[in-house]
Amino acid sequence: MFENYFRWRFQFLLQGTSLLMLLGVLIGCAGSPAEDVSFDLSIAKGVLLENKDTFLAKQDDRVTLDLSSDTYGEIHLHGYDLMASVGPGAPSSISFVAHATGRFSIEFHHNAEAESYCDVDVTGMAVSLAVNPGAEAGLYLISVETEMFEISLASGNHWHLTSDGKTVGMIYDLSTEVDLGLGTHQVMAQLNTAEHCDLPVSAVVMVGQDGVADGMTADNDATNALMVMDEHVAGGGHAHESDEEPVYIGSLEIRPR
Amino acid sequence: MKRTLLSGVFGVIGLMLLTPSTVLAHGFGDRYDLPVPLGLYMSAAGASVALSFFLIGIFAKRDVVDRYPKINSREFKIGRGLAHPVTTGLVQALSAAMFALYLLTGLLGSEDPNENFAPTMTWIVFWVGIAYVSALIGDIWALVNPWKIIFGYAESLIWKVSGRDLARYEKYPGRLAAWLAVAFFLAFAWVEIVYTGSHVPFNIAVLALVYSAITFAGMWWFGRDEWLRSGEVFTIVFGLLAALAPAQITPTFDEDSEAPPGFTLGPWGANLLIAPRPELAKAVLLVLVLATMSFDGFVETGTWTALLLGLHPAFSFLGAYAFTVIATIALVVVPIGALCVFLLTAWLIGYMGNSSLKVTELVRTFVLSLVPIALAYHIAHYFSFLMIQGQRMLPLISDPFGWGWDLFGTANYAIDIAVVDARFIWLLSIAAIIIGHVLAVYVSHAYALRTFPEKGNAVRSQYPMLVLMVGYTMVSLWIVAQPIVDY
Repeated sequence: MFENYFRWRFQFLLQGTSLLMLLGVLIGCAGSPAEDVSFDLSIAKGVLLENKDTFLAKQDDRVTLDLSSDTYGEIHLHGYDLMASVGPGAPSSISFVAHATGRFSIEFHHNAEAESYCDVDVTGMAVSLAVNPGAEAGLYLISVETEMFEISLASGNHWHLTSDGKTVGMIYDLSTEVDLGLGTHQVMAQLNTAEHCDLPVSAVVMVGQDGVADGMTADNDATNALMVMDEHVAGGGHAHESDEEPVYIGSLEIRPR
Repeated sequence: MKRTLLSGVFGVIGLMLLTPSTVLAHGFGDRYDLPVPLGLYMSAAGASVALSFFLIGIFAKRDVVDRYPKINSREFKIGRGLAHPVTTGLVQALSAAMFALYLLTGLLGSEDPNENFAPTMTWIVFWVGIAYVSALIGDIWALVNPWKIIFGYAESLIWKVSGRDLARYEKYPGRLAAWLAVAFFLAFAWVEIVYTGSHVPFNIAVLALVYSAITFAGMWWFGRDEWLRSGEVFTIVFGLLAALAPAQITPTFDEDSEAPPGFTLGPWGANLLIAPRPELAKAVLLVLVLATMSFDGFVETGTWTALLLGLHPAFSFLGAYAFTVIATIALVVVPIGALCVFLLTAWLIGYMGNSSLKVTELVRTFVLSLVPIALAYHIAHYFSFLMIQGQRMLPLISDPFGWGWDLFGTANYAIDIAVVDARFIWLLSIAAIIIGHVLAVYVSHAYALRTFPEKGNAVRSQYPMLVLMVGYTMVSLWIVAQPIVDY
C-alpha cells in the first residue's frame, strides 16, 4: 500500500518537475541588456493627456518618467515609493533603475494649497508675442511685451514658452532665441509668477515652415478673484494634508527580463 | 443606561459603515503582482485538463490509496518540546498580548493605516497569514485564537476565586448548527471586500470589539468549546482549511484533556483522505469561503471595474452609495451562484453514481475536495502580497501606534519590493494551481470510491466533479492572468 502511494507520488513529482522545466524554457530567459527608457506623463486636470494606462519596461532598465501637469500636486509611483512635485510650468522627472518586477500604480495627489497661491488679480494684465526667424531654419527669436506685469529675475516674474504644448523654457527676459526644429509649431507664452503660478494671461502664435505668422495679443480674461496669499505660508502645503483622494493616472509594469 | 450604551455602539458602527465613498477599496495594502503571461496561462490550463484525464485513466484501473505514513510528534524530542504546555502557554500568552495591543493601536494609534499595527495585522497577518499556516502547516488558530485564550484565563481565574464555572453551559440549539458562523462570515467578507473603511484602524478596532463581545457572550452562554465548535467563524474556517495540512493536532490543546498534547505529521494533503465529513452548515460555509476568495480576486480585475461602471447608471439614484450597493449585491449573488453550482454538481454526482443519497449528504461528502484548488488559488493570488506587505510587520512592531517609537530598532525598515521576482511568482502560481487541481481530483475520487459501492458508479460519478474542478481551476487561472486594477 505504502509503495503504491510513494510510486504515485514519485511519478507525479517527476511529471511536475519536467512540466515546470518546460514552462521555464517557454517563458524564456533571453538576456537582453538593460536599456534607458523614458515615458512622458503629461497631466491635464488630474488625468493623463495621452489615453494610455500601462507603461512597459523591463527589469534593470533605467526608467525616467517625465512629468508635467497643469495643476499643482505630487506624483507618486507606488512600490518604489518615489515622489515628485509638479505644477504648471514646473515639470519634473522621476528616474530610477527598475530592480524590482511588478505592476506599480502611479497616482496624482492634487495640492489644493499650492493652487491657492495663484489667486492673483490679473486685471489689466496682457501679453503679446512676436516670433521672428533666427539665423538658421528651425531657430526662432521670440519676444514678449507685457502690460501690468514686470518680467525680471529680481521680481521672479517670468513667462513660460511652450511649443506644441511642451515646455521649452522658463524665461526671465523679454526675448530669447530657441531651436523649435523644422515644421509648424504652436508657440505659446504664458505669464507666470515667482511662485510658479500660471496666470490666465497668454498669447499663442503659429509658426510655419518658411516663416512666421503674425503675432497675436493675449485674451485677457481678468475675471479672477483677489489675492488670498496671506492664508498660507510659502513652502508649506503637503499633498498628503489635503483631503482630496489621490487620483490613479496609470501603471508602470516592470516585466522580468 | 444599557439602552443608551447599546444605541451608542450601533450608532458608531452605523456611521462608520455608511460613510459614503466613491472608491471601492477592499482589505488593505498595495498589490504589485504582474499578470501571468498568456503562454503560461494556456499551458497551465492545458496541463490541468490533461492531468485530469490522466488521473481518470488511473482510477479506472487502480484502487485509491488511503493509508500513508504518519509521524507522531510525541516520539520526538522536538515534537514534545513544541507541544509542551510551557511552549504553548507562552505562545498563547503572547497571542493574547498581541490581541490587546491590536485593539489598543486600532483605538488610539495613528489614523494612517500604513503607520498603524491594526490594519496590517488584520488583513495580512491574520486573514492571509493564518489561512496559509492553517492549510500548509496545521491548525494554528486552535492554538493562538485570542478569544479562546482570554476566555480560558477568565475561566480559570473565576474557578480559583469562587470555585464556580464562568460559562453557563446552556444547551446549544441543534437546528442552529453553524449557521450563525455563516452569517458572521458573510459580514466579515462584506467588510473585507466591499466596505470602504476597512483599512481605517479605528473602524477595525470597533468591529473587532463587537465580534469579541459576541464571541465572549457565546462562550459564556454555551460554554467555550461549544461556541468555538458552532459559532466562532474563524475557528471553523481555519479548521476546515487545516484538513489539508500535514500536521493534525491530536487531541486538542485543552488543558483538561487526558492525552498528552501532540500532533501527527502526514504527507501534505493526505489528511484530507481521513478528514471527517463537515456538517452541512460548515460545508455551505466552506463553499462561501471559496467563492468569496475568488470574488476578492475578481474585484481587482478590469472586468469588474468595467462591470461596476456599466451598472452604475442603473444605480445612480443611490448617489455615493451606488458602488457599495452594486458590490454588496455581487457579494450576495456570487456565493449563492457558487452554492447553486455545487448543489447541482452534487445532484449530478448522485445521478451519475446511481445513488439514492440525498444531495445534502453528497455536498458534505465531497466539499473538502475543493480545498486544494482553493489553497492553490490563494497561493497564486496572495503569496507575493504576503511576502511584500508582510514585511510591514517589521517597522510596525517597533512603532505599533505610529507615534514615532522605535522599540526594536526596526521602525525605519523600508519594504523590499524585490524580495520575490515576478517570474518566480508565475511559476509558483502555476505549479500550485496544477498541483492543487491534481490533488483535488485525486481526493474526490477517493471519496467517491468510499461512497459508492460499485466501482463503475464511483468513477462515473466523478465526471461532473471533474467538470466543476476544471471550471474552478480555469477561474483561478483567469484571475491570476488579469492585470490588477486598483482604483
